[in-house]
Amino acid sequence: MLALSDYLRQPVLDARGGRVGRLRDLAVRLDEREPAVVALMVDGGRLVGWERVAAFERSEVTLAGDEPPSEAEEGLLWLVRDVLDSQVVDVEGKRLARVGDVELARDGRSLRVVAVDVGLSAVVLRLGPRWLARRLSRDALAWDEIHLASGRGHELQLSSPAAAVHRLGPEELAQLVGRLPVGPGADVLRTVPRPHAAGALGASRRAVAAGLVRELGTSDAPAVLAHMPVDDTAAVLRAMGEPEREELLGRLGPEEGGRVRRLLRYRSGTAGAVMTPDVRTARPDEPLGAVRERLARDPPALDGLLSVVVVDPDGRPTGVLPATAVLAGRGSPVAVPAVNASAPLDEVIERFATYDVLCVPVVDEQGRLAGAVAVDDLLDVLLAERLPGGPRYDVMSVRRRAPT
Amino acid sequence: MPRRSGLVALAAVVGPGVLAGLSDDDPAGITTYSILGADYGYELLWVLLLSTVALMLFHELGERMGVATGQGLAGLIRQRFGVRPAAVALAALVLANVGTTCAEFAGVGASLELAGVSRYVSVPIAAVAIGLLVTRGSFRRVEHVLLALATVFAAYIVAGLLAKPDWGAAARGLVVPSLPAGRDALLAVTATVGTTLAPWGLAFIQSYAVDKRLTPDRIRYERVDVCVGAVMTGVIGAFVVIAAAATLHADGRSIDSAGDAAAALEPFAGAAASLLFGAGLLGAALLAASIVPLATAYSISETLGYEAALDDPVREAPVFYGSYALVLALAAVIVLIPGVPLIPILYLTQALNAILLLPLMVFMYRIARDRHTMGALANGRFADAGQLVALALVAASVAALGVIALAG
Repeated sequence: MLALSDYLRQPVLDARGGRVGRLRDLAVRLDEREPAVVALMVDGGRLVGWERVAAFERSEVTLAGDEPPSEAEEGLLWLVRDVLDSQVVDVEGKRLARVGDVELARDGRSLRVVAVDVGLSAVVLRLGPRWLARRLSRDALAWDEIHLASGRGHELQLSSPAAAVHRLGPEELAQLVGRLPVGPGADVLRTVPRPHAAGALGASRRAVAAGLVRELGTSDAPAVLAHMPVDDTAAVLRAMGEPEREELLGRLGPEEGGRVRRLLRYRSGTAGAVMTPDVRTARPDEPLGAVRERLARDPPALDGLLSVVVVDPDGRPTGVLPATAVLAGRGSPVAVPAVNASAPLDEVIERFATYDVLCVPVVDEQGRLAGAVAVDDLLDVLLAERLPGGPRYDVMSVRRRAPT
Repeated sequence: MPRRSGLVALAAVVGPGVLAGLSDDDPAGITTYSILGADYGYELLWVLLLSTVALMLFHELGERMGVATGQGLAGLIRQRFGVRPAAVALAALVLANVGTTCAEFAGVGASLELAGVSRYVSVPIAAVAIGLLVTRGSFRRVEHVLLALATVFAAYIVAGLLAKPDWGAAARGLVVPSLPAGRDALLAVTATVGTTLAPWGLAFIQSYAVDKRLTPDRIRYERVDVCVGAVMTGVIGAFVVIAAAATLHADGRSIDSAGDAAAALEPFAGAAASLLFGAGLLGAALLAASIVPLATAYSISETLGYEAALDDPVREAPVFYGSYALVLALAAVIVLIPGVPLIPILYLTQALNAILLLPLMVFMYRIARDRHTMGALANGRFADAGQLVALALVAASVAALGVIALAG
């Protein structure tokens, strides 16, 4: 393994031993998992293509032939300018770190970037005291496990299909965008598939998600929000200012916008603000087999909503059928009284505590079913209270949508 | 209701500018302003106006840099200028900040000793309370406590009013620049410029704006936060000068410290003014004693590449909280060692702060012009010019201070 800092400022010589200058930077093209060096930069910003390098040694770099140095090329990532000493997000370890050195490996004639060292030893080594650096730990991150947070590195990685960001699922994306400034975070959400972006928003803190939606703007945000469960959309919009919220609601279209608007009527801290309108129902006289078949065809987004709310012909809930009863084909509904949508959340908690159910029906002013609070939704709220300022980027409300 | 939503948006971003600004009105600053007023009356108020404008320009830049890059100043210096300049800047900043924190704890001790509380009681209690606030509290809690603490500064305004100043003379001193002859006057001017803008304030405002997750689309409100903070800082400084000018200067008395000023106010403006001045001193010391170690902890974490956020639990950010606790403990212990040469330490600290200010401002100016780093939030021509003038003002002050010190 070669450390980039060992080679910087070493003399670059031409075929006759004449001095071309000192090595200032190395460029890679991000089209492979371990990108290969394609050019060198010597003093004065002059470029030399890698194909001219005859020997790349710690004492010196020797070039073959003596064509004039080539012109700058677009789309290259420069390891000193864009990577060394810049911030990276460690997408596996979920943390922000700063690059102390870049590690390269020989691969036949080429030189590839394989890792970055973000440990203290790399920094101390570059500052001088070797005895101290030896005592400190190395901390290498494989190149395909990082996302570059610096402006150019970030852009180039987004446009390179080989980069780590394109392999991340919603939870990891939430971790990533939570650690990036909001602008680059929104760039990531624009680049990844829409359902992933929606999942990442749902898994982010509300304030972070609201900032990202604002940054996505009315041009890109609606397409992402369309993939979010309607209660998550409402929760994010609730954290935004009124004019922005209205503008986004307008762009969501009459149907989706209307559903979100209905949820937004309920103040936070009420059952209505936590409930999901997308609830599975059954008629009182319906055979359990038919209910199970319907659930299998159109499964709900949350485990807690596998419990089916039994609704009378007037639309009033009479009880909750536990998922176990539906699966086993026998058992009867639990007669849990519904909660009014404007009731405080404590009432919902009390229902969960009294009746061993995984979901509690919520009704509107007329007593008709408006939605349900699934245990998963309640857990989100309670965990957020339990961990004040706890995990910075909570992943607790990640929803895995059933495959369609 | 656009007006109301504007206020809501403003309330959501207020913090960095106000806290960074007011932390500059620490006991060392209050002392400088008191001496300025006691020795020169209203005559040098214009210096405060100038340095407030410089403060505004560079705090605006600091907040903008944080918003544009998502990084604090120390981290950005490493990214843009390499690991060596970053390490040198960090070492100087840490040294200066430990010294400054000593000064803040000395202020806590001195102001409570006016009320008969021994510093061996007040300083440890203050250090532990500040330490617990930051390690236990979330970002929001910490910010609320610090902003509440900042309201203590209103005491200076009341003390200034109680001193029944000559408003005409004050207004003239504020807008008509004049410089009394002599080395001491020049020293007072340079000390005032050096104390209004401080290295820790520049480091703090940028890192704190990042920690607060401020975003570019709110830049208008963020600028209001900075302007409000800078104006408050300047107005409070001006009232300290005015209180000292109306009483001590009118009587031809001179003082050595802000504690002296508080005690000396009593015969002229009454016990209330004296008490208010002392309370203001305590609040100022506590606020700065919270903020300076925080600026240090942010800077160390950023330079070494560790995460730093007030919302992180202690075990997830050991470097951040560890360096915070270390600075706090070190400063409290130094202040309490019997016979420690506190005056030379504080004097050297102020000198180091003044010297360090210049390279930090140059780093900031260069980054601000760099579109590659700052994107759309890079300096415009107007900001460029303003910052250059402010830089020249500080450079001239530092140079004058150096010449005076060497001429001895």
